[in-house]
Amino acid sequence: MNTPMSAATSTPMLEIDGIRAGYKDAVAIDGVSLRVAQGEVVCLLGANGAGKTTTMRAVTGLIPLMKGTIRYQGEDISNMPAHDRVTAGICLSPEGRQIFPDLTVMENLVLGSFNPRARALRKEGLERVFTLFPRLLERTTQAAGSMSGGEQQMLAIARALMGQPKLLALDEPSLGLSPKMVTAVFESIRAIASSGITILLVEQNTRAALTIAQRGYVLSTGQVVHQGTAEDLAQSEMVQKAFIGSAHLHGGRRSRRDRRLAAAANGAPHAAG
Amino acid sequence: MNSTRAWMVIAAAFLVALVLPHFLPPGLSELATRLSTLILVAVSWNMMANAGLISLGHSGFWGLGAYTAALLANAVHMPFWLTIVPAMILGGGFGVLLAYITGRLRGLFFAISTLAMAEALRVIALMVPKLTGGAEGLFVFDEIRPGRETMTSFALCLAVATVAISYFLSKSRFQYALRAMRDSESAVQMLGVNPARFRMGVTALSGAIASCAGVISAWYTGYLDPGAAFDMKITISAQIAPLFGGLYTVSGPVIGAAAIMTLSELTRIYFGYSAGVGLLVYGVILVFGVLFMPSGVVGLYGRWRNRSKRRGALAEGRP
Repeated sequence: MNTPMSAATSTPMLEIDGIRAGYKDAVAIDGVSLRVAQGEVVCLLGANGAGKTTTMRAVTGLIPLMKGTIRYQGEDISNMPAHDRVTAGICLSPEGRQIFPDLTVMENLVLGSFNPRARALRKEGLERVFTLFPRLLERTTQAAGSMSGGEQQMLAIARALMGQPKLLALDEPSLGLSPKMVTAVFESIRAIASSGITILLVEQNTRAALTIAQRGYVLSTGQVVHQGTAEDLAQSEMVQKAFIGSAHLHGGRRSRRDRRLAAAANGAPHAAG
Repeated sequence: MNSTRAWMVIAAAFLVALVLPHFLPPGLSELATRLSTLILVAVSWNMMANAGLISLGHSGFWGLGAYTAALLANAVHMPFWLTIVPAMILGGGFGVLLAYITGRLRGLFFAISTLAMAEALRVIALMVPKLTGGAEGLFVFDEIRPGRETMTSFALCLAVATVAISYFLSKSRFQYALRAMRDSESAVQMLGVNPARFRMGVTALSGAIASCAGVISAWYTGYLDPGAAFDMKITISAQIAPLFGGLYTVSGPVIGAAAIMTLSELTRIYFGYSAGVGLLVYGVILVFGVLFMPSGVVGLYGRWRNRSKRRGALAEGRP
């Protein structure tokens, strides 16, 4: 159950092998290995401080590796600077969105297609993101910072898409959004995935993540502690424990509901209580 | 403004810059030259600020330009217009060095580093009297110094060229990247922009332009010493002008430069009998200007135009 899906058929889109990374003296992840096949949606799960975002930053090149290798389409990119990885096709929608608040929506999108490969396809890119997020089309001349959180998240994803990604890295797209908005954003991510773009998704919202991912990895204190298909993970006791454990923090009501949902997913109504 | 119109305006401005100095009395001619140098450093400072790089080292560029011009004039009798080339190369090179040394420093830390580098240049200039004349200063070889009209034309032309460069930069796609760098360099890196390269580009351009101002001043005054060439006042007026006129805009530094030059002249003439009072009034006006016009003269004008547009619409009964 815990063996990764076989990707022997072709070179995987992304192959991370025993990487160690962190900030100055603090090692945040150590010995993390994972692979993402072409066209797959893979999620990274875990609690706060598990190392999800650090893994993402290592993949996109925002922090250097201390150890291990990252291969992208079979090529070693461990030492490639972040901006070159974007040109190679790894585009990130960062945690906390990081849109440029004073620039307009259109300017943010144009910036997304700054790399030479994407610049040539700017028109097609704009068409694609406006089909995917019609709300952005209504707001092209508005300052990005004046939009709602959900719209800003859409903009962050759209901006990453403007870079013509082959591998789209999404870091916490549900962060700080209303439940309704989370559904809308995940609907869009599903649409992006069905268009053939490979997605690496970091999420704390385990339930939402497992509905669109095919496979997942669970991180804890900087290490992969669990991996498997989405169904396996949804039913795994370990994930449920983390799931319910974190839900406790949000208060009793949410916790009861989540426990019920988790139990329902497990097929045993009273097992998880 | 479309690009044909922009070119026409630039051509007209060059024409004015070439012709006007021949009709100006000496006093105004001197003012025009000083205004040109102020525009050069103000636009150059604004360019770096636009990318989030607050410079306290513009006097360094100025001094480098001034000494390059003076030393080459004295050593090989290089004509004034040609000294621009080595001065710009040196100023640009110093800009690149600045970007390289400061690495990823931002905000205050970057500002302090630039201040330190400019001060270091001043001290170096003092310490090599064989080359720079030390504290006694240095005279520019008088026989090859151009006349007043030529010098003023030259200065005005450089100012026009600088504003044109800043205008075209603001219309280019690099403007987005630079503006975004002001918010977050790591965020633009995630979009495939190499912030280190853009930083070097903008400091090189800014340094080259600011060193031109030093060249003009060296040729115009014919004398320089480390205290005057690396004067902190240069850096300060380079940032007051854009702040007063309108930060991050093309016209802001130009309008600001003209405004503070006029203000300083008026207070100097009006309170001429005691220099202190004039400076005090000048300072108070600047402080209140910056306090009450956070987006500068340009922003104030924009607001006023919007309001009168709305009022006009109301008067005609339109919504």
